[in-house]
Amino acid sequence: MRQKRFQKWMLGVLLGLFILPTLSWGKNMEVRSTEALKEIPILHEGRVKPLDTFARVHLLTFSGRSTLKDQSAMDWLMEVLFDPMTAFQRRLFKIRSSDVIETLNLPERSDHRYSFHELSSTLQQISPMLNALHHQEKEARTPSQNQLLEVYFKTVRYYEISRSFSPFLSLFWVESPELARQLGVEVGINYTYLEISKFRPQLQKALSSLKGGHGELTEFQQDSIRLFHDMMKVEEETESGIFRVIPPQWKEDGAEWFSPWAVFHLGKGSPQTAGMIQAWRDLAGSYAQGGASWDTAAQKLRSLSPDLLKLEVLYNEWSVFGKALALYVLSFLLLATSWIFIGRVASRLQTASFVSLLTAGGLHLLGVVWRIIIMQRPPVSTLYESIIFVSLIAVIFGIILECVRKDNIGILIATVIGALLHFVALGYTDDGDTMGMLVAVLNTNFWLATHVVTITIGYGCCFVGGVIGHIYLIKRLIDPSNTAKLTEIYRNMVGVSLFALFFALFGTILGGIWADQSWGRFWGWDPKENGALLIVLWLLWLLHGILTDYVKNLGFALGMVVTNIVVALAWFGVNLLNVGLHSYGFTDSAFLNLALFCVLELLFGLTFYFWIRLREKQS
Amino acid sequence: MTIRALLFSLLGLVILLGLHYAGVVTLPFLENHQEEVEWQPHEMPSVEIQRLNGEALNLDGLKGKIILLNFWVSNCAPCIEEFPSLLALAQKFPKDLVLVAVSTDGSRQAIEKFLQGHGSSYQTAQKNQNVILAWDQTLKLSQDHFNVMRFPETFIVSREFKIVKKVVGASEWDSPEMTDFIRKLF
Repeated sequence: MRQKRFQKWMLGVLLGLFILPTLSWGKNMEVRSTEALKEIPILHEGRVKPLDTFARVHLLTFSGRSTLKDQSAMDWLMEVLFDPMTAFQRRLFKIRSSDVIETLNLPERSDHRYSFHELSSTLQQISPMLNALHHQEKEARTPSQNQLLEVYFKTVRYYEISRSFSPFLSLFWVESPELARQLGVEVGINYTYLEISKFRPQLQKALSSLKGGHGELTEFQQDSIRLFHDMMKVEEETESGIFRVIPPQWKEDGAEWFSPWAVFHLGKGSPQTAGMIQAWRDLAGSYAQGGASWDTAAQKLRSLSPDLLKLEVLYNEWSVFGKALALYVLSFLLLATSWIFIGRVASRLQTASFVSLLTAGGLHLLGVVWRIIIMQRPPVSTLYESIIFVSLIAVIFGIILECVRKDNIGILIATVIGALLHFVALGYTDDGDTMGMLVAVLNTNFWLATHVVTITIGYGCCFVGGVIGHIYLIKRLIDPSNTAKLTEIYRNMVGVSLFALFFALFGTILGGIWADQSWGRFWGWDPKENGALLIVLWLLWLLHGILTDYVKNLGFALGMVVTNIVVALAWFGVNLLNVGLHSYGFTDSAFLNLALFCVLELLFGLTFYFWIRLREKQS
Repeated sequence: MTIRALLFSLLGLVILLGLHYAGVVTLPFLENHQEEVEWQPHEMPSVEIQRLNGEALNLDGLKGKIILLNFWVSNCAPCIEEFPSLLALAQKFPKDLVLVAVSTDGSRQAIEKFLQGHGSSYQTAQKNQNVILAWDQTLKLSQDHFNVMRFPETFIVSREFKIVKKVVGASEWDSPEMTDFIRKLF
């Protein structure tokens, strides 16, 4: 009874600490709230997503963070769009490479951050060199040159975003009273491009007065030239097509969305786009003051948003995987702490650890289901998603094991795998939107739901078996006399390996059928296919080994530790090769981390194996 | 739940997936298609235009007829090129179609010069009284209400006062294809 009360109390505390702060109260109290703007739909990288995701992804790309200290991602984006001069001064871009800093003549800073203004002036000076580098093959460039190009493309992208609403920004003014009279405008008032372009015929007439003229230019002539030049400059930005917030208007557009510039430039305008663009103009005009006109425009734009986007905004805000990671770590720490106590204290800590694990698992599962609903597809279509899914499988197995055994081994398995894989997944969030579009061959829900899910369940079971192998080796070293416990752990290990073999084999066969349908052949000795076969063969060899008594308990445990290496190589290692039809995964420098993992696992396994053999031989 | 039960549950799930794709059962979540929303004509806003003679005209008053709302400017070559064919189309359907040609020129002289260049065809078309010339001097109608910046741009409005098509750039308005398209709107 007391135990149950404690569990409920523990659950309440965890919920309060981790979930309640994400509820948004008081967020709309700001003068210029950007909350309503988060749900505005935008087409980016082939997917209609909320503006919140667009802002977070780009902020992450430029600065390495999805929020700034004093600004949310949306606040930052609004500043870039409507107050670019201020945004250009903000130290946003993170540059760690000393070679790049030296090449760009930038000062060394402890936070490694530089503003667009600092970067753009120096990048402009070296543009011929950048152009030459861009035309070289990537392999022919040094890492520093690649990083320099990366900085350059980021600044180009940043500038393109900042110019998305240049037709609506008050960038134009007239100084000459004579010109103001001819154009019918006022001196000293700022006008937008759309407002000033209405006077183009008058301006062209004013410029015609320059023909055949000699001597110094009058104020009227100078002002005419300046104004016309500024208009031309803004018109060059009709190339800015990144901010596709205008949905398709005409039948022939299909599913194509348009930026505000493209609406005018490509003739996509309609009364409906006029309404949307007026709302954006109102936002631009009221950015400095905020107030009712800002809120009205924001609500109007928000009303266009479908419900799925609202769900995605909530997903972004809740950051469930981050919370799950924190809870996995907490669960592990509570469990580890319980080992140094005995009696009721230890029991309470273990209970707290289990409740924390259940909460983490619940959030983890919620995150996966959430992604399925948002993306309308199974949750294993990218490397990032496969990591999250494999860790979920391992956590579920761990929880089931704990419910059956009640000896904390399940908690240990779930927390170790859950936390470690979440950390690995974090490394794949920097590459942009984790809910990206699929490559064509993956764009089939049937095979995603069967082959990929089955294989990743197999991976998860392998990791569970691998961790049990670690536990067996440690237990056998520190408590070799507890044969009952060791036998129990061994049996669990064999059971999990059978699970793993079943799913790995089934998944491999399904993969072959899919490959036959997509690429015209069942098996092509692709690295990924070889990796999957390797897992199956390795498990078969181990299981045959114990059946024939060739491999003993200790050897089997070592074999399961090695299974972790086999799975890691099949899962991540083959992507580093960048060959074969399966090379749709990431191919960045994960080599070092992978090598480190394999070496550490091998070291652990072999050290414990031989240590135990030696000790048992001596005794 | 025992391990065996879990294993069989998972196996059952995979069999269910197979049955779905065999067409025996339906699992909506696995349907890999997006709902194809058919394109719908846009609502035509109620706007007031200023005729060349200074009179105001609300386009609402033209409901029940096919409206060609054409935006043009006198120094635009495609506008000059297509204007006669627009007039010819208006002549083909004198009772059921109205051509509202909105100039965005800055001066009346430019408009008059343009019309002089199309003298005979314009005068002929005028007889049917289904050609309305309007002037959007401030660009409020073209730019603010219809987001028009390229010329010519023509909105085709049905009898139900819905915008069914937009044509950007010059077009052969009196061609058989266009005439058939207009006829289908009656």
